[in-house]
Amino acid sequence: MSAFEVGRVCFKVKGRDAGQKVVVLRVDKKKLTAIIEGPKVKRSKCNLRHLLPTEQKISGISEKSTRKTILKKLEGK
Amino acid sequence: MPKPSERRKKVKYRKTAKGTKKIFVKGKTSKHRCALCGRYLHGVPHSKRPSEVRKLSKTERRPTAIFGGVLCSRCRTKIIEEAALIKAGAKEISDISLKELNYVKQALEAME
Repeated sequence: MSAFEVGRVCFKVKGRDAGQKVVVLRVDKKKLTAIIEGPKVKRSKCNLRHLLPTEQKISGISEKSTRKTILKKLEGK
Repeated sequence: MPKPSERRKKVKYRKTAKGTKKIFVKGKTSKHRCALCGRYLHGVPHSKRPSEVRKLSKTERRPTAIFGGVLCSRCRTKIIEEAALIKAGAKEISDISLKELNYVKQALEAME
């Protein structure tokens, strides 16, 4: 079971958004990429190598959920 | 810092028809190095006149990432990973070496 699942809270480690908290919305195992979104990060594709997973996980969100619901759920973490 | 009286301009000599000619060499900015590992930094202008650098916009003078223009990308990821470990409780702040302590603290604030 890979650490990257839908709802997993991660940190971006590389790039302009390094250090920002994001949540995974979809994982593409073949291309090793994920769709992520975060309070300071727009919804975008990201290479798994640029992500550092944490133990926290959010339930009840998916690729279809809007940015507002995602950020509301991310507030607590 | 040498005393004002000891200061000298860098000089190059060039042969001309009338004899050797003195040419003053203009000072240029050097390549910037990473604060932790000393590697040369990318995304930072160098070998330019300071007045030219001042005319550049803020984002042209250094990368926009956190610690842009201070740490190289490898040290930046290492610092963020250590900060994430501390946030998760897997590492204590006292385990961090003194050199990186200052940067880890800043990363912790930015990662709230």
